[in-house]
Amino acid sequence: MNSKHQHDENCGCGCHDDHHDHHNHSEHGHQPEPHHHTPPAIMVKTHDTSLVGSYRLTIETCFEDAVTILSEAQKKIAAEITSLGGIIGHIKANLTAAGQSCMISLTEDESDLHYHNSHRCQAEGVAIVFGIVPEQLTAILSTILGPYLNN
Amino acid sequence: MKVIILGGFLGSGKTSVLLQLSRYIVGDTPENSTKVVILENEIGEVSIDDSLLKNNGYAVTNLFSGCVCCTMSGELILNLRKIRDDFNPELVLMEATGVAFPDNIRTTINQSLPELEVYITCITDAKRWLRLLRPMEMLLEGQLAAADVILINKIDMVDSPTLTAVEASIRTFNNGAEFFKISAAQPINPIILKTVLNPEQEIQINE
Repeated sequence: MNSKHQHDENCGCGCHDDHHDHHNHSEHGHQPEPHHHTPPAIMVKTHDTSLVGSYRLTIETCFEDAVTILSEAQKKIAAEITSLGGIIGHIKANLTAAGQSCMISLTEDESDLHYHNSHRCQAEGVAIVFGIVPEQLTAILSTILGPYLNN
Repeated sequence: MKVIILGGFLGSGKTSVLLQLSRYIVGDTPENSTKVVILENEIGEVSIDDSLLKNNGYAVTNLFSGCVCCTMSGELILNLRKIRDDFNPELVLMEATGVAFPDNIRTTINQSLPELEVYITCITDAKRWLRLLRPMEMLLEGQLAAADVILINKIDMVDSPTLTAVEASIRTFNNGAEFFKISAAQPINPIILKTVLNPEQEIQINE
């Protein structure tokens, strides 16, 4: 999923909660048009008795190290939740690496290829838990994932 | 068009079972995907499971940021109508969120699309069942109550007495379903997969 996305008034991205309704711009005297914005790095919502914390990360290292970092971070999150008396539902994330890149440069008829390996990984994850309050989950995610959160 | 709802608590193994069901249906050729549509429902603001399924070569429709058993029931019906009109598959495999009540989903579908056959398979986590039972009893009971098939998953992670206790506990919530014990980390017996896909045929298996 793109970190910046287009959406309309039916979009479920949740970003609409924090700003005024940009989808009805007639009062501003201009036509409504799709817009782009970056969703927050951490979003915590409630659903019945569950708390759902979603997060987006960038880890500036190779894929193998990023797997270790993210895995350890998830264990820390779980330990913090449990220590507060909470119950882990599911903590999961999808990690992807940018991999190889190539800049292709052409002037007249000379084409130069500049290869490099990207050491940037992106992760999107969710922590679904019970028995703690939203502020606690937000604090846990912010503290443990802080260095890697997309801002 | 038949709808199979895969329900069960968070982390019970729904996506792992879904992957095996998908492979069983289409074989090793994901191009043969016209027979089945996968519908994912995820509760978070980001979609995780659909990435896994897409990376395995399957086309997936995703409803995320809410639960179709309650807040997104309208979107579910809209999507099922679109799937029927655009693809008319034989089968829709729908993975519910881990906090959904599958019977609510079936009721919603039956009310708006009564021509569809809807069956529920509930996956349970043998390893965590006894630990989760007390704090999560209402949710676990609600998820199991109307299941046609119940898969007790992760049996490789518990000893025999624990497994016996888990099954006895689960049967107090629903003793009428077809029961199977599996480890979704390993290949699931094709007869079990066939039963999940055709619960109305009451296939018998010697475990």
